Amino acid sequence: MKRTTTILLAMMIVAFAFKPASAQWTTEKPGSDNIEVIGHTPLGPRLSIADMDLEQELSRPYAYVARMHYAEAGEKGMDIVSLADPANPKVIYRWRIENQDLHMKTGGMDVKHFKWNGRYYVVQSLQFGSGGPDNDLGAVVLDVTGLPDPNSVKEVARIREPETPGGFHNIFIYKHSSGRVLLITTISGPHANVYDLGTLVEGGKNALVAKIPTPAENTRRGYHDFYAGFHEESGTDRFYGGGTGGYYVYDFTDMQNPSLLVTLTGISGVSNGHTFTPDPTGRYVVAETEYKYAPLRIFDLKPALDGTRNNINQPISAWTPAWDGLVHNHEVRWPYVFVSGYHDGLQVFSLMDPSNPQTVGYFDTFTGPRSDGGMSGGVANGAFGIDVRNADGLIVISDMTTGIWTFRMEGFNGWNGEDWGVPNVSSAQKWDEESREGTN
Amino acid sequence: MKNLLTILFLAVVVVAPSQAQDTAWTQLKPGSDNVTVEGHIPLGGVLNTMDMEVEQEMSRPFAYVARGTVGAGSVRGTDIIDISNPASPKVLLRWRMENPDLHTGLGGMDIKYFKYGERYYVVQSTQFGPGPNSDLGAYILDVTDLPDPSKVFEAARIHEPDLPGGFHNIFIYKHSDGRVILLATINGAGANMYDLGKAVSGDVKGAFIGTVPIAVDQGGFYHDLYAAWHPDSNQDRFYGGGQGGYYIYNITDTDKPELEFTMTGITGVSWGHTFTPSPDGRYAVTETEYQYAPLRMFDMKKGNDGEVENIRSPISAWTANWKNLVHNHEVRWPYVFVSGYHDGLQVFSLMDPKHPTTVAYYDTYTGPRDVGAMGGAVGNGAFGVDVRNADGLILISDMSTGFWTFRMEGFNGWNGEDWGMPNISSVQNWDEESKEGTR
Repeated sequence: MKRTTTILLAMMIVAFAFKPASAQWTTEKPGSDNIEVIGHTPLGPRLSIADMDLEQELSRPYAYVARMHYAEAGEKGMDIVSLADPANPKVIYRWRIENQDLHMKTGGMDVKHFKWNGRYYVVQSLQFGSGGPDNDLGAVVLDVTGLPDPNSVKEVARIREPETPGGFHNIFIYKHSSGRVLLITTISGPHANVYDLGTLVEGGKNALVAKIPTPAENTRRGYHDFYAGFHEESGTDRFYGGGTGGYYVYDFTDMQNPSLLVTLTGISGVSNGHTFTPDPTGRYVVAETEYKYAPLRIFDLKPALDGTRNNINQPISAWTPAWDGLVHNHEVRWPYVFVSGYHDGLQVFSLMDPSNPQTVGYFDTFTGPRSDGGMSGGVANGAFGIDVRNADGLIVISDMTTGIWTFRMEGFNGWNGEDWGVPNVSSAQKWDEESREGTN
Repeated sequence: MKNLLTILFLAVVVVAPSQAQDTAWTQLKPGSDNVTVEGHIPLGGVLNTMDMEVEQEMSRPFAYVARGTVGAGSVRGTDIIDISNPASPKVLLRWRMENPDLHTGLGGMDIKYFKYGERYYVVQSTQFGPGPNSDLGAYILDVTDLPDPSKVFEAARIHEPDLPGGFHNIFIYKHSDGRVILLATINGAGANMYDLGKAVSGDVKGAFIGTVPIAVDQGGFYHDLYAAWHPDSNQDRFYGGGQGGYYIYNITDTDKPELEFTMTGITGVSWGHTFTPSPDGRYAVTETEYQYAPLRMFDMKKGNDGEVENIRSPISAWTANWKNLVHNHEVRWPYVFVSGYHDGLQVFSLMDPKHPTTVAYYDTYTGPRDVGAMGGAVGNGAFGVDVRNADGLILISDMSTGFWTFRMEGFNGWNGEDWGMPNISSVQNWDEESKEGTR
């Protein structure tokens, strides 16, 4: 009896001394002192909310939230949320696919906005299963120029790919150095599709202008997610894709001839790349692979960019808010990385020292059961999507269950890369810049 | 400027607690209060010490440490250590491969002992590169007459000319038919089985008795292995970690190993490393070897019951420090004793298999974090671990700091029956001739 008591006492003492990192945020104190919740609006049932995007102009305070049917309930489409008063987000428009019950699988997944010729649009990626209508529908494009008047919103295009049904899981919109606005999409094929959105919204028939290949062999869906950014040092447009085998960087300044620059494959613990985002200089990248226990890995691309090697398989560091969970999407505003951390909510870490990422802020938007969620281990619940408004530093989260949240981080009142000594390059596009000097 | 100062201040305030939580062990306080260092003896240079094994009889207080060269040097062989006074371990014999300058590659890697007849032996697995003995998988030393080092002699060598590269890992199992079987990873598909009784009786060529296959489409390899009696099914079971994941075979009939079930398609696991079941064979502790990988725990009930052919979702996981990697482990239910590389000795409890809990630790390696083998330099520090069931002595071989002995408060020995489990662990019952009902 004495022996058992000793053992149990020792176990309690050690267990207490060894609190996991996840103990930092609790239901009573979900956030760090430097994070302020500005607003929160629930949007619907459990697991019915996917990714989100935020317009960047302060005069257009609109957020777009993809809506899905991932569990027992949920409408398939998109919500448009007014953030005119960030403390009081209001749904001003709900776009829904017609004949909800006939459409199979999840519905809305990723969402991005763009501006073309003075008008504003939003692209909602869609995924509908076979056995119902629109299995070949990848995205719908809405003209949202007339917001906040919901009656002015109108559908201007649908993008279909009958040869590669299954829809678009992820999308990214990039203002190319040629001046064109490009939609990059995942598809059920060994490449990413590139559409000219100007052509599309003006009624042109040949909007599919390029395909970015993947070096991975025998892959059904080459990419899971991607990003594109201008690489100031080389004056090139760069594509960063995560998919089968790892991560790939292409120069796609000449869209018809994408040129593979760097591969990141053979990484221990990474058989499929997910989200993959470079820093503003293109030297460091934040890379996700999507399974329980996987941290975000940070890589230094310099040896490959310098031409001393073609492949990189060793991260220089990693970060996770809780090793027994999984974090999802991220937005890089150097040195900060804003993360939608699934069960761990909003997380912010600093890459000031890329070899030692440090958590600098957090707020847990999902305080339900940790075992409740999609994917193996129930990791997929809570904060799904994230965006940051550069003009004033507003942080927005879409939570799969609890809805849309707005935050501010103390001392972060906006972002411009030049203030940090790096190019002013992030996911936020400069729609009104016609083309880069020297490229067209 | 004010904003920048605010940011820096907040960064310090918010970061400090998370840094402090990285590990509970520090250089000034390397261990938990319930772990006592009994003894420690350095064995040589950095990255020159590999796996280890301890004999289980109190009357034979000997530990065996494999010596190899991940770092610089040419030390390749076996150290035999006297732990009759665990507070003062003493090297009795340094057995070294002949012609050290001609031998290349790792040298000694895994090590296990066994008893056959009334004699005691130790099997040292070897891996040599180009040069002599690249086909040598293991040598066997007769250590019956320890502590007299002059009476240790080499009893056999196992060569595999068709599979050069040696044996990376080995396990010795007292089969239900009474034979003592060496299981060895090979440079090819499957795991080889050798009858050690034959090997030490002069019939090395006749010692090979078969290969446990691996259920993959092409090729395949095992990295590590374990075998144990499975009371529910009355089977001898083989647990192998290798290409694609983990595999469980019935090896009761060593001529016809039968696949029971697999654990493959596990996210984050492209190949399995160490794979150890609980005494009843229901739960499994599994490792895959790369930085950031935790140990994953599986409930194998549905596989054991024949309800599924494959299991792919762990029920839980444990890590000492998610930024690193832990290595080998010894299961003494509910405890799992871990050689945690950079994090030293670690002990966690599987009392609730869905919520493993750290219960003790002692960091045997407090050197630079960026020195080590493999990606992320994770391969340094505590490499091997073993537990003496008779009195609960815990032993660690550290790649750089040498050989350590520990005691954990309240853990004075282990017998599975005291915990409501079969008395099954890596420790073999050498004197049991055969299991009733199987032969």
